[in-house]
Amino acid sequence: MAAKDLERLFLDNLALIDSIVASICRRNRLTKEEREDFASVVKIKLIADDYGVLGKFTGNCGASLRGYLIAVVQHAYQDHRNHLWGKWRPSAWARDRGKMAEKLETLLYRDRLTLEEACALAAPEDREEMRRLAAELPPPRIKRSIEDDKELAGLPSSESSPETRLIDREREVLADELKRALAEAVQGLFPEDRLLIQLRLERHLSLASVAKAYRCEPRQLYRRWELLIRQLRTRLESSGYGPSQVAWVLNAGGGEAREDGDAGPSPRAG
Amino acid sequence: MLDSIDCSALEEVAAFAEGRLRGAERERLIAHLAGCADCREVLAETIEVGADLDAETSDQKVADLRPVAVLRPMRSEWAVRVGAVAATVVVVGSSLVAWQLEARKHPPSRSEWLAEMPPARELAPHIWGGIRMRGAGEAGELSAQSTEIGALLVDLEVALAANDAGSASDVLNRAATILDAAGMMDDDATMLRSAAERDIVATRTVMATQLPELQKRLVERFDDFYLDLGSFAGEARIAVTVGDRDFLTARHTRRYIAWLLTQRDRALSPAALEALRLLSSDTTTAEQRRQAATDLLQSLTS
Repeated sequence: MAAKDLERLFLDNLALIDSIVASICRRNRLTKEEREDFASVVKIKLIADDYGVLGKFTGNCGASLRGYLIAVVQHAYQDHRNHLWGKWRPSAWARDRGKMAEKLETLLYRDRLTLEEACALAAPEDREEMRRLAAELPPPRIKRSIEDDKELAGLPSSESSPETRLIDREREVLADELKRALAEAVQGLFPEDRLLIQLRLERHLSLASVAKAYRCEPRQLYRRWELLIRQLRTRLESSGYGPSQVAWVLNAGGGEAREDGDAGPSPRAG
Repeated sequence: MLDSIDCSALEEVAAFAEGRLRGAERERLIAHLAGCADCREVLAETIEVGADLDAETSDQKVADLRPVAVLRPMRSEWAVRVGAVAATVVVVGSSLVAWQLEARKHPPSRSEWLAEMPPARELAPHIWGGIRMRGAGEAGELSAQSTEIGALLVDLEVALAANDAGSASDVLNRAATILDAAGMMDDDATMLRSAAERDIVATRTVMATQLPELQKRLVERFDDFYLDLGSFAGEARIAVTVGDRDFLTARHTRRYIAWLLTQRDRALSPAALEALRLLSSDTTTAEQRRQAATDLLQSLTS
């Protein structure tokens, strides 16, 4: 396709491109300035090399131009994010709680903003939820240098009893073993099933939204999901891990639970 | 991967997100996606942003929706599939024999068993009773599902050999229900249901074409021990129903039952073990054998 035709294609789809950019910015809760910045980046990328990215679209494997543009803009966003902030990754805690928690963690820990500054950047309807999440946000994983005594005074005490430390250590060991057993079980699945688990648990996609990619009805995917979870549970149980061990590892107040008569880890109780 | 991802890869990700990527390209991409977090993020967001835009569009243009545009590709794909099937004629029996021989060493082949039994025309009327006995509701756990699929394969062979369209349709629909419940073989369930809609000649043709690969997938997805046990239980039930004692006294049948009784780790239920003992005993009456065959299948599939 000639450069002139590609330019026409670009202009004809400009409204679509703007919609895609707006959706991605909204999903990642970008500020107004960040949105404007990213929109420019996308347009420059699409226009570069005589609309080279558009010229590379073939349609051979069945993708629509709209689908291709979404993938291109999303990829541009990931590139742009890495360029600005490096490969900063949200914690597992934030990933488990969705985009809002990821954004909050990013603003507080990566950008070192205060909670009020973070809330000021968020949409008004998001602020209350941000404050609620902030109360549960675990401390950052990377230790920061302590610059003055005032900051030190604001940090919670890290002291704990020897018994608590022992229980925490036991819990860590069991958690590592469980992770290993689960990883092995997932590794034994078909790649398509492995991907389904990753999209559902890591990316938080609903089964209904994955169904189209898997070319099936959502109800069929629900059944498939149940079977996969059953298979994983069976494999974990055959490795000697039951519900009580998993619950103990996941229990945030585990030390107390143990003292209250919880069955405890006994990893090979089977 | 992200730094090196190129436009053709993005096009494939988009095609996958839209459910349009097929064949080897699809398999290759899935294998890559399962190991690449960056590309998974592109995929996940492509799916979600696509849904966002769909929602916006549907809000704005509800009146313009034309369902016929959605249906058209499915119709043309179906036409191609029908054409391909119609062009292929393969004998049914050979595929079943091949599966049985490859799948398991221990039990005799289904053909060996069927060779011991009366002609299919005499057996076919008893198939429907078997399906009703195993139930038409939700299919259960993997062992029960595997057993029932094994029994249904016997029923299918008999029904097709006897040109019994009604029984074949019932068997195919029941098998599709189990595959649906197992949730791992959606395309195969669809294929079985569409085969069930056809006349008996077309059903035979379709199944002859599809069965060899289907059976391989069944062995992968279900438990082959129970697939074989289900086949045996299905044949035993038909044999005792038509009063065919030779089937149970045949050397390979006795060998198989003896082997089953040693499989302690499979934890067969006491009812199933008792039924097997009764089926293999020389002193069992015909009525007891009939009851034992019924009990065996019921205990394995309930």
